[in-house]
Amino acid sequence: MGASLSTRFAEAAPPETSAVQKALLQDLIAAVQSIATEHLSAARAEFVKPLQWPTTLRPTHFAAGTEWKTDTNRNPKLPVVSQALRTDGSPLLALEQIVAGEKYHLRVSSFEYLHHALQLADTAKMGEIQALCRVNTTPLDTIFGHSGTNALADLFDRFNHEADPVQKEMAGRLYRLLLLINSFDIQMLATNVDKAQNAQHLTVDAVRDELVLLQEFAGAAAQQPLAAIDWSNSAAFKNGYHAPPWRQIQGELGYITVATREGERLVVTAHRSGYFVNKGFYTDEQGSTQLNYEPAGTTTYPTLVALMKAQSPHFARTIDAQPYGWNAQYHNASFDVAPSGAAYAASAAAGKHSDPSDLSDAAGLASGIGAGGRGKNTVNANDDASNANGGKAALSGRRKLGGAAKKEGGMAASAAAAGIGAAKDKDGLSLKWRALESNPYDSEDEDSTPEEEGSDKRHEAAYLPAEYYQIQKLVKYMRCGNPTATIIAICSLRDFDLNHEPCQLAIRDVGGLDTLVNLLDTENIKCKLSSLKVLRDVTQNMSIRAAMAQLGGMQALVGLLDDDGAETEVHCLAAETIAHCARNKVNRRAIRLYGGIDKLVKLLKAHGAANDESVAVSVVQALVSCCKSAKNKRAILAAGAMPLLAQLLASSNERLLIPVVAILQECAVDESYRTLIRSSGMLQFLVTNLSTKNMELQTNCASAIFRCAEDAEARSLVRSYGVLTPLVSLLETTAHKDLLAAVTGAIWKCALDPQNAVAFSKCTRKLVMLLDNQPEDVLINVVGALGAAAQTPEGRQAIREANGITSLVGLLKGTNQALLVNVTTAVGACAHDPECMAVIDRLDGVRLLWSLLKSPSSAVQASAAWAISPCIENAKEAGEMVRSFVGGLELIVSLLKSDDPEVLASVCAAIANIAKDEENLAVITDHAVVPMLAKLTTTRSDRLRRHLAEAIARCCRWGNNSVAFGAAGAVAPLVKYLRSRDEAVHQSTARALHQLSADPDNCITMHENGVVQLLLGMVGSSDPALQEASAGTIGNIRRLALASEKSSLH
Amino acid sequence: MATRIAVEDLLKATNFTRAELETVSKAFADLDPVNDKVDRAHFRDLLADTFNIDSSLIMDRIFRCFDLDADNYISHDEFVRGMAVFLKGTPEERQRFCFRVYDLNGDKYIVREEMYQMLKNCLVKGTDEDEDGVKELVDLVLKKLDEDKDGKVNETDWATAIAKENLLQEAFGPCLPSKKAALAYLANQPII
Repeated sequence: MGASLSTRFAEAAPPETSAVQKALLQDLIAAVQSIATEHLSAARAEFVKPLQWPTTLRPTHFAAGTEWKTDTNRNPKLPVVSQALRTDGSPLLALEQIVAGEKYHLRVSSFEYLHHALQLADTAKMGEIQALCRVNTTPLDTIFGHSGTNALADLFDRFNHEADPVQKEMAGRLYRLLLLINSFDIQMLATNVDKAQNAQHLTVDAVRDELVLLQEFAGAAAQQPLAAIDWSNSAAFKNGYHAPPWRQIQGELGYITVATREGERLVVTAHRSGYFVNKGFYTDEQGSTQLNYEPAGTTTYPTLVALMKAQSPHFARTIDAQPYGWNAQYHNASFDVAPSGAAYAASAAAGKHSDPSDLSDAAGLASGIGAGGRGKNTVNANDDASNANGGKAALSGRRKLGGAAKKEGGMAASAAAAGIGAAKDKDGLSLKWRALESNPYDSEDEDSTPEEEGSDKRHEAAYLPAEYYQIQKLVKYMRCGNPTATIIAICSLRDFDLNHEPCQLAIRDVGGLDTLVNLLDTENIKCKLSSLKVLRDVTQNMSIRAAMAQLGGMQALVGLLDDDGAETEVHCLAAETIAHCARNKVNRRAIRLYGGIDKLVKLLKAHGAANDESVAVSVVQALVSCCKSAKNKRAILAAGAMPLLAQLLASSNERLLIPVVAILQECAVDESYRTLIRSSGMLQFLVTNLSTKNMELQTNCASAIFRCAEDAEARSLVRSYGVLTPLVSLLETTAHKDLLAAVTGAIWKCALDPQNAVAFSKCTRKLVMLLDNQPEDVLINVVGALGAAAQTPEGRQAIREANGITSLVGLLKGTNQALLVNVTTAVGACAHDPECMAVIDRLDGVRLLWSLLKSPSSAVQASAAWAISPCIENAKEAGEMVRSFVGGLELIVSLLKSDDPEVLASVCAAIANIAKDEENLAVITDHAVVPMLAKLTTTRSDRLRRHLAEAIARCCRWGNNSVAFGAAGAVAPLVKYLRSRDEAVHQSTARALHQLSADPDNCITMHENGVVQLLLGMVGSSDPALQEASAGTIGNIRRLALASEKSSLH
Repeated sequence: MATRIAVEDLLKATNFTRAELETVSKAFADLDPVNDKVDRAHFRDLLADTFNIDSSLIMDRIFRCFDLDADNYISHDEFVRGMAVFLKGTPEERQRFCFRVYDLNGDKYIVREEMYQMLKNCLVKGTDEDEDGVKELVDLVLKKLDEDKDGKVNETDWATAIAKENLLQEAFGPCLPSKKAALAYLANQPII
């Protein structure tokens, strides 16, 4: 009691005066003033010992008055004394000279005189009171001769037992004074609470404490206010927050999932400003669960209890009726506060969590729900106590509390101790809610130790989902029961939502997976079945699949597949479980290694023809998952699955057909599969089923055709099956992107066949329209199809008329490499048409193509370079255009250093076209194109040889380049090109040799390499260009020979 | 000695083929060659040795279910009719049979006490929480079976629950032979 006042004395004492201290001192001055003016009798109460402090007041300040007499002469030691005297005869106020003329001490024995003194000090008030505080660290002790929690009772005792009426009078006054001080104390406390409240914000510790508290009230029993409550994510960050860092900066502390009795599941955000309900969990496109952090409503609640009361009527009804056994556990919360500072800390702690408008909430964290519910009773009890026993009751209460406070370091205890005395003894009501806290202490104190352990356990477990314990229990029965108990446990386990991730993980965490896998090896078929049913569901979870891999679950599952006598249901479930598990790489491998693929195929053989298709469906599903890896594809093929799959296609069950076709489309990347698909007539099936109603089946079929049409043979086959009409009509299904991607892919690949391309020319316009607003995988295929269409003049015209070139050139700015390859191909194909080229030129398409030469992908570089060739060929003023690209020529020459033969070939072709312009030829010669080309002549690739020879032929026309080629050793390898089987190579090589033969040294080299014989053969070719070039070369060589003969004759 | 019903009538009353009927008749004769009826002890041996049903409580109940006239002996006809359900019953027959077995006092309800009786040996012995565990198991299984939530399981509850979850058919301990054992018995092959 008086604790806050004494605390303030202590706090105000330090010499440095901060703003806070000033406020405290102001408070004190105001308190002294109000005591002196409003409570005169109390103000006249004599202090037990006078308060004494070094003062700045001088005798001169004490102008003569009625209150005191200044008598410097009579007693130099005591220049000023008050008229009024204490009961022992000494003055109530005395100014004492310590060092003559310099240092004075003031002694004051009542608030009345203290007030006078302060008034005299006037502006120095603050300094006076500060000095007072500094010297009197325990003012209450000085004033009352008692301090601490027992002062009131002791004073009361003294008052009661005092025989001397004067003394009794004094004691009575003192007692009233003490009460007064206490009431000031309480006022201060209240303002403090208010202040603390204004600054209120939640901390993660507070949230956790309240959560742990509420978890006490959560449970399955109907009378419990809550079904379950816990953190949504059990993992906490290092700083204790449960919110991810990017939400922490928004002030969010964590998320709490609450299952109410009403069956609702709320996700509550704990924010620094309070609690609100957010929009809960949802599943995103990837199938993973995400939290929508947005608040669902507008209300923010100061406490979780308040929120729950608003959200759950059942909670609001039942929470107040809860027994308060929680309390002992609760007050273990360790606040180590020294008794003198207790009230301060307590007020802060209470204020932080309290809501003064609602008494039951007011006790907040400290008193919690139980106190709220018990409120009325406790208040009555307190009333009774103060009426009947007065101070005595308070005294005994406080002793216990003191003990508790020491033992527990419980801040609430001290707060109650501070409050209770005043409350009971003065009016017993003003601070009743504070007193509420004290009662549970008395009764629950003894139980606190065992509870503590319990609470620790709970606390640790507080991070686990609510279902965890139930699941743990069931797994225990599963493990240690006989088959009957196991089945009951598993059936109950299946009552949980096994598609719900926390449940799945809980099963794993409590070791349930282990047990379930072990059960697969039992003899008891019911155990196997029930275990499989759970496993099938939980393996939909990625991490469960990984856990299955670690447990070696595949061996057991594969083992179930060949159990001849087993029921088909076992086979089905095992295959379905395998289908889920095989999405994990490790599992896929394990399935193959344990012979699972053979067994699956064998099952298919056994059940394929049977009317019971359920096994076939599950098995095929398992195979779909398995065939994701290349080795498994081969294993499936080797196991002889293809004929079986072909048989299954006869079924009309779409549930079966879809996975079968899924296998086909997945495996069609492998050539041997494609051959089989063609030869076994599956291709026809695929084409036929493009017209089915089931979209998924259509998608799979189209996608399988897309993959199969990689081969020329398949392309003409599908035409004969009539693929074209359904594909074109499917282009209308723009809403279904997967299907559209598969269909456009199929069109693309089919259109690579010129005959198909003609048939598709009708849909060119439609394809062009698809260039807008489609996902990239569709775009790639559409552009690929356009590229195929643009191979014919009609196609190019159609694209131009549909304004497709603009879109295509626009796509050159993209970044997707697969798309860029197709776009450059398409643009290149269009460039063959002069009218299209004009459009490309206008859109600056060549510059875009050129910039793609810088692409990191060699495929893009190559296709861009290929596209550049026709552009230069068909553009007007191509030479001027090429020169306008700053650094362009240097760039393309530098690409001759590439390692990719396709890039080299395409760049050579482009250089051959660039070199048609003399100025450009000069520039690339300066960029050392000649030695670079010469260096490439050793290649064995006919494709490169053809374009390389062409480039050399064109480059020879500048300066002494032909001599330079000879010097760089390009001639001898070129001669060898004539031995190639490719006629296109012969033609370009002959042209190059013709150009090179202008130099006599080159002629000699050629002759030495036996070129004449080869060229003689070429002269007989049906190709006039080849004839001419060959003849020209021979002529040059011959002329050189004649000239040398002539010169030797002379 | 009870009179036997004609073979033809038995064939009509059961779903046995003639060969199966002969096998079952012969097996009956082998059980007690002397009396032309089977007493409890012999029948229990048959259940334990051939069909691997080892709970004494359940064996007794199966005996009661076979013994239609409650004379503590199973006559030939009772045996054949019983075996027809036991070995080859339709799902509905088997489900009803199980209910009758588990309804220990035959009052058409399976109540908590009966469940407790049947499940009390389910958990591994030696743990002190054994009793609580069994009680909890009873709670769990009651939750699964008691469709109308009246705290006991009647035949309708049972039928609905089994239709939902077939695995619960033998919820209180095995009382039917495994498929393999049934087939082997009808084919008159020794069980390995």
